[in-house]
Amino acid sequence: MRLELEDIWYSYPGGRAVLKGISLAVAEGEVLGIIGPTGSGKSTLARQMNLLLEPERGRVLIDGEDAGRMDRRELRRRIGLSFQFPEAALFAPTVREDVAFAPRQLGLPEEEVTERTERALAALDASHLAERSIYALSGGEKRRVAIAGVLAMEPEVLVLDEPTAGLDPASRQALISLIGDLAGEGRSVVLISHDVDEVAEVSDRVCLLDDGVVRAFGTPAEVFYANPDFAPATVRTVLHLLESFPHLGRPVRFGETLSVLGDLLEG
Amino acid sequence: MSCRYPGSSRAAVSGLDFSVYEGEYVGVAGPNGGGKSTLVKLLNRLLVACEGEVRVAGFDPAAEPHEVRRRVSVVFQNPESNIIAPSVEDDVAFGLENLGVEREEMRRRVVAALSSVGLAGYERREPHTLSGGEKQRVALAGALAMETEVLALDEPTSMLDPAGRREVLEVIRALKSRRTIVHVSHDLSDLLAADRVLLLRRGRLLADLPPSGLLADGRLLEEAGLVLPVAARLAAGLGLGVCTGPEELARAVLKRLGVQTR
Amino acid sequence: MVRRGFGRFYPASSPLHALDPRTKLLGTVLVVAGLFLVGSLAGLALFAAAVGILFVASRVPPRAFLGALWPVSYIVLLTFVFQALFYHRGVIVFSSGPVEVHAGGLRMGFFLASRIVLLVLAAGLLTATTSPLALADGLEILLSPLRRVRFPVHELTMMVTIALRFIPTLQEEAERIREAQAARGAVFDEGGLLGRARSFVPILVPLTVGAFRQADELAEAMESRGYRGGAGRTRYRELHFGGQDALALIFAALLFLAGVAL
Repeated sequence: MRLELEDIWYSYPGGRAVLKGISLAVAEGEVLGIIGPTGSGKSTLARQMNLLLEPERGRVLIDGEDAGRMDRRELRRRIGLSFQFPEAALFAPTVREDVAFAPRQLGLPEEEVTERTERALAALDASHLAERSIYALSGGEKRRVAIAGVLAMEPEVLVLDEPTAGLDPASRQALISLIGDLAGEGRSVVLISHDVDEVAEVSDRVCLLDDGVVRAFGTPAEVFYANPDFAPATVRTVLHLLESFPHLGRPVRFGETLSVLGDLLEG
Repeated sequence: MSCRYPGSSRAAVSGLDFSVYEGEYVGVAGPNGGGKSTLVKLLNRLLVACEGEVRVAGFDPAAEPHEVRRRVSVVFQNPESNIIAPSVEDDVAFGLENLGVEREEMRRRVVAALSSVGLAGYERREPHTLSGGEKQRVALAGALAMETEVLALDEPTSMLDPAGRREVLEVIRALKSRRTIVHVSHDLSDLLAADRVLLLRRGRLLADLPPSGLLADGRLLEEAGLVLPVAARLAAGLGLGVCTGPEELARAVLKRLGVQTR
Repeated sequence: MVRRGFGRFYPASSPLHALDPRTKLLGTVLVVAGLFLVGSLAGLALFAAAVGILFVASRVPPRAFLGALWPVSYIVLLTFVFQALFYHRGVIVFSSGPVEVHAGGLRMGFFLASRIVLLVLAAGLLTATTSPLALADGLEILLSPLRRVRFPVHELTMMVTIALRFIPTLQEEAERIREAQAARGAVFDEGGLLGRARSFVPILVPLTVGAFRQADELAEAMESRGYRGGAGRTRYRELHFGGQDALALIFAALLFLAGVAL
């Protein structure tokens, strides 16, 4: 599915404009990272994607068609939204039952529900937690189970709002790598995060939001090298070296940066 | 004044033996579940050691919790739970009310404390209108107003966004050497300003080193399951020693290549 | 966002807002008692005039009050209709078949209905001009003599204060949980009564568990800050009883006496 936001405007009930003409597109199978300072409208934007919030102006298009005309339940199945600290919404006695909630709500036959639950748990490396009580999980485990709960709907677009917030660095790394693997055939991932380093590691494209407007939109290299204030540590390091070594290239990910710098040091 | 802690408490921590001296800024790092929070709670008697001795400024928390709590303030991880009263100034004053401080003095301390965390003028604000960073700073103000010698911080920044984290770390660093600080964090980059860092894993003390020493010891970090910040990892991978940020890393690269740096 | 309905605090600066909450609490009791004792329409008119004056003095817009009269409007209407139809005193004003309306019934209906309206308005004046925190303070001091009979005044006030602190937070949390479950396909407005009740389980369970966890963390934070119950605590917030308060109380007392007399 190709998800497009066309000139989206949205204001809070109090009157303050949060989104001021946002246009962007999520291509099928890609990971789109959305970065920007707090208050830039990232979370509000996430809620526009499945029309949890309706834009004042502008449209959300799904494969070219106006999402505003679609059945909301169907929309929310196709575009799965996982909020910040999603584990706050875990409620069923066991992990399996909680993850099965969404597919069950869809009215699917039990067999299908079980299959989807298994697939979702496996994708988040949580299969071994299936029979555990939700109260017997660590923070990182709860997080993965909660995300699996949304993934079990098998949405075509998975929107994750700050999926690694509050986790320790090792868990963050593990989760981000799992997230990167979630995108692929028939599914794209929108990753909203204030951690630019992790966004840099898994995103195919990046959108920089600032004060309700799209400041930059393109490949990670394009966006980060043009906006050093919002760049990951890898890019910032290379930027410091570009003066002395203009042909260094524009690596973004850890691996490629290590490689580029290693080559540089070897002469 | 010193805060000594040899002790063992069920399986959460065992065989811990260390001391913290007056005015030190000690970091406590390690993976989640490693016993860091347990340590903090043992300091102010939210938990009691099963074996061994805990002494804070000469007092045993198990025997005299109130004396210890007059000397140790704790700021916890969840910004919501740190704030007790429906307004900022009432919350900062909460601890002072418990201490029986008289009203004029309370007012003076509340204003001074809010000012020192950069929240002057926030007195009448309601907690649910504050950002995470602001809430934690209110909690810090409350701790400062109590004028305790020791400030214990249990993962104060882990639930905050980068802006909030910066605000809180700034306040903590400004307090260095004006208080004795015990700062627990799962993120090493928070502890770079510490005098030394205790590394806990599965409840055991793995190391007691200054931050630079810890960053330099890749084997130790791996054993502890800790992840270095990106720049430090790059530096380690390139054999450039310890670098805590991109600027430092770039300088190290240039230096290695013999290029003049400005 | 906490909605401002009637009965909610409406911040403004007015002579009524400035009064000590104790004055307003006692004053309201006196006015309400007077309203129950008043026996004539003339007396009621006096109360109506008094409430009217207080309204103007409160600088709270009428819109805020009309909002809350709405829920009681059918009780008012019902009372009036009931009296009009079944209180058979005085001249017959209207009759059709079994239905008979007497002048006395109309008068009584009007009297009782107006009294309900005035009671609601008087209570509303109290809550609109006094913040919940001030009300709690006022109550605590007024009830403090009851401490001698072991009535847990301090504990109740602390409970009220904490509830006030957490109500907006819990509301936001409930909303967040509702959103998350809706995003997973939960629906809350379908099915019969039982179905709808069951559909709230995915909200109530996590909300309740979360609230308990929060209560736990809060208790730890409170203990860490030296809380040991009410003994030995000083008060940060103070109440001032001034000349205007004395005048206001006299006014209320006079109204009460008028109620007895008229």
